[in-house]
Amino acid sequence: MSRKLFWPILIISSAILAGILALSNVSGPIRSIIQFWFILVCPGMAVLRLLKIQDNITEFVLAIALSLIFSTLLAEVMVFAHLWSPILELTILIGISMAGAGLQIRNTLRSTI
Amino acid sequence: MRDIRISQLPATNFFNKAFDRTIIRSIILPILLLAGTLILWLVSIPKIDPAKMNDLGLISVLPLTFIAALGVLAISFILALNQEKSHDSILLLHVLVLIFILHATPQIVYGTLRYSWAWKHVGIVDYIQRHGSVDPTLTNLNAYHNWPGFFALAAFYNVIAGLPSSLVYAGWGPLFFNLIDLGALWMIYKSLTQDRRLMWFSLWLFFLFSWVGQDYFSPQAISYFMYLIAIAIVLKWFRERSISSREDPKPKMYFQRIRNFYHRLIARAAVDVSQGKPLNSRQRLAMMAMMILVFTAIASSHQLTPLILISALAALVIFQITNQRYLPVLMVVITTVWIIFMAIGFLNGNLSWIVKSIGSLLDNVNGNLVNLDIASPGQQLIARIDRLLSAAVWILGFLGLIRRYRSGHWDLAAILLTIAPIPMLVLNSYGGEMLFRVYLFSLPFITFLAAALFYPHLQAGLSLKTPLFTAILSLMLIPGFLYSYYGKEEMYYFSPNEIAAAQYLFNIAPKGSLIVDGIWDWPRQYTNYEYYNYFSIFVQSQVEKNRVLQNPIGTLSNIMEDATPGSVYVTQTHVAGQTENESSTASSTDQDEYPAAFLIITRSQIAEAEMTGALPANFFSTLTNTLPRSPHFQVIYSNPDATIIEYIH
Repeated sequence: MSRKLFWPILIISSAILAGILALSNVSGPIRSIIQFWFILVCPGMAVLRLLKIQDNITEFVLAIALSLIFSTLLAEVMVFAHLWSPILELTILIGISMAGAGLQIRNTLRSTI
Repeated sequence: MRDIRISQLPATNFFNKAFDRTIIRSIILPILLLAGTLILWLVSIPKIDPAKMNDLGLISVLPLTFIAALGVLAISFILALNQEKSHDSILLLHVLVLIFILHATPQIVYGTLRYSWAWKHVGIVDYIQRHGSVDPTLTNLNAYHNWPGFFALAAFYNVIAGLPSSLVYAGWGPLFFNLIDLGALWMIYKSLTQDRRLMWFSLWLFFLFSWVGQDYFSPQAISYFMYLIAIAIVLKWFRERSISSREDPKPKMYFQRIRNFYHRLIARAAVDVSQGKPLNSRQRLAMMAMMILVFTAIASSHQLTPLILISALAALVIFQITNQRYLPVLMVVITTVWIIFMAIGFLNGNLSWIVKSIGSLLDNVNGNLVNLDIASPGQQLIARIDRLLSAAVWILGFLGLIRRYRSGHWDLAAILLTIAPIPMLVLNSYGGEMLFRVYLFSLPFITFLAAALFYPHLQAGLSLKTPLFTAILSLMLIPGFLYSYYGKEEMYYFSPNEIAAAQYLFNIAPKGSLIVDGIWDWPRQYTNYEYYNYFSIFVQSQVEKNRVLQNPIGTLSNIMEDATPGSVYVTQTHVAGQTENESSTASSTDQDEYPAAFLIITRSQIAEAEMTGALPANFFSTLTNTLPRSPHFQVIYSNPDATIIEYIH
């Protein structure tokens, strides 16, 4: 069970950290790296792991693609709609990540009961 | 085979033998050689002085230890690859080290962002960060405002990461994009073959043949990754697995023979489908949703990639490689909707030249090639190596296809995906880049066929000849790549002095100023880009260029003073492959006179003029010697790599 919870816990921790850092005045490489990690991997991984592809490398590669797509399309909609709000976009991405990770945890707990 | 031999050994010898042969050859030796590679590379880095580059580019200042590092890496990779029990993790480490050395070295050595187009892309991100929107009506760099996906993503990241500009990380673009491409390529090759050696050698060859340099901080780099992902999903999960033979046993008519030939082609290809675990209905639906998202991201981020993807998907559908026949139609719909609703402004302003260039195959191809008559000797050599490298991969690929076919494999998917980008050459020259883009999009599949020359089937390549030939090929490709990929670095590199000059200019230039350069190859437009009007001399007609050279003071006075709409001069702005003409009085200001006008001359512009022959050799020295003699021109900034001259009204 602990291995199955690795990703959801990592995704939730990254999402919380990304949110805190975005709202704080902290600057520097740590913030850049954590935000980079979050938007590059977490939203995509939160969704893809629900599909149970069972190939770790494929899952990771697709998670990167999906995460970049989420961020790109959301940013694009905001830019064209004159609703530019990076914090709102980050909130949506955190929401996707939390929801996906939450479902993963629920599925894991159900399968172990 | 090996397991059987090991099991037959006496128990006392088992560990010794196993350790001797398996562990040492497949793990310890490659790791030691990798460590040696990294030590040689680390020793090389402090010895590289980019300021001393000549027209051969970065290779002219690379110490022998750098070349040796790559040589050791190649030998180590080939040794690891040809082990009976090679480890994926060890092979992956080799490819990662290769990518790191090839694509991190310039950023580590320069410490500054290379390539002028990357600076312009930083400028678009800067625009979005400041305005929170795009303006598709802007005439300057307007394609980016119509396909802003990549820039919006970067602007979003900058804000949440607390970064003032993309300059902080844009230099790492080539490393980042090659790393993520590695993942997508891994998926593709795994779908094309079950032979691990073929898969890894294809990856290795891809990165050694990928010299066209579209991996910098750019929309095409991320779109290329998305393209690879779309193809990977189709090949992995949307393959047609069962094709019943529909051959006419007694073809009478010509078209029946063609039909039979077509059915033989596709039936034979179906045999080679790499059988992965099929998706269940929920997974399949999710993958389709992901494909739609990938298509939308590509269609909204780049102009050319959607067209190549449509061509690739159509080829896969026509030859029944995929069972999802609506995919190309879906991509056509998404692309068309994007152009009609979001990018119509760009299309209106550029439709005439796009239509004009359709069908001009020869012009489109020739427009991509370096004019060897006017290029410097170093650039002539680089251009010949570029062409040799490109020809080599196609010849190897063709030979690989034949050998693989004779071994009973018919890689129709790889063949189709190699050919699919070629029709783009008929469309237009894409600002002199189409040939390179076609090469880039064909590359993953032609390198697969090239690798198949050495590993045509699972039992092949067990003799000493294969490691020998693959090592020789790798050792030949390393200098080839270094010449081709790094061959223009003398003009792509911007020294800290050049950047300081650009920074000074943008600090003092009032909004609406005219900024004149000889060639646009300097850190241009990276901040507040819409505030300024830009004018490049090298895109003017030859008559105008001669006029500047013969009478610099008079001609430049006219250019830098004249703000009359409809001026005889044009600023040609190269936009993501297209060329758009705009009046020298750019649209960002409606005034009759520029508030200020500046001429900037940099080391990189001089280097480009010397390397490509875009301007005469004495052009810049004539300007810097002549202009200050006039009371209308005043040198306001100078350092060893840059001079800024202000026009005084």
